[in-house]
Amino acid sequence: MGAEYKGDLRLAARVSHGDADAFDKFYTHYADLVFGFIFHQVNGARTDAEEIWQDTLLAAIQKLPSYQGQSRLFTWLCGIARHKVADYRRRRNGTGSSAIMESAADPLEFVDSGPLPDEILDRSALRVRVIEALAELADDYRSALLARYADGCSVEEVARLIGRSYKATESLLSRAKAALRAALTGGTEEFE
Amino acid sequence: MNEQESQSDRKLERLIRMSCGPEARLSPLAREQFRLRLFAVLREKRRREDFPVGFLALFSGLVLLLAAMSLLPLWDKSMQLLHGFGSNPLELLAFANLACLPIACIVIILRRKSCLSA
Repeated sequence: MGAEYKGDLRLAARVSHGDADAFDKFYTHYADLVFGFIFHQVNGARTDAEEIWQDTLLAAIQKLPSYQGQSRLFTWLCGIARHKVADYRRRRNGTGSSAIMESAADPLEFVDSGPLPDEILDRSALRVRVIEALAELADDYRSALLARYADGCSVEEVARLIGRSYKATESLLSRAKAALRAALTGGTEEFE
Repeated sequence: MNEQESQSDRKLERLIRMSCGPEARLSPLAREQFRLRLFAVLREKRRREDFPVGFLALFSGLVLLLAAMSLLPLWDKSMQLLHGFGSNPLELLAFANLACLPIACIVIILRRKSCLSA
């Protein structure tokens, strides 16, 4: 059974061998995406997300030699992250939530006018899907999209950031959006 | 660009903002601090893994040196220098550990190969 994702496998092997450049590339490429993935899995609990993110990357570094390139490296990292999130939920269900309920003076404190759990779940799943789709894109597409729409940079700023002309950046953003749309609709027909 | 396309673009842009906006990102400080920590962990892991191979290679080098010396006229002179060990135990050590050299070479080649061919 051959490796399908040879580029990812090569990167993983280089990181495993302590190559500093490969490590920088690995971290730059995946650290934020994995954090975003976890952040939405835990419904925006930032402190917990940071803790799980650190556990995930530490586990990933230890397990990296076992990565065989059968799936994308990001998918493999998400697999580890899912386990860590499941551990976190088990711990939380075992202690955290009951402790909170016991300490509450009024149970109605937990009832607010926010979205229902199913809505939160759907929204989180959609955001996780967007992050997965972004991870599938080429580096320049992802960087441009994140700079433009997540960080709110102007097209000029994005152009400076990626070292291209204004026109070329506009064209790149347009192609990047088409690629993201294709990656998203590959999994779901409707993304809104 | 027609209206439908621009609406779809706006939805996509909003999705990116919601999924990867500043609130779903790490602070640059936390990110950099953990990068350093993670790299230190990686280096330490690598050092622990490399130690036996490095030791084996060093030991094999010594054995090879002894084996080469045994073929040269220097051998007798060396034996005089190493007389404390006696000639037989040294030869025994050299022959018994000669196997370390191919093993070390194979291990190093396989590790390099797995890195390059991956």
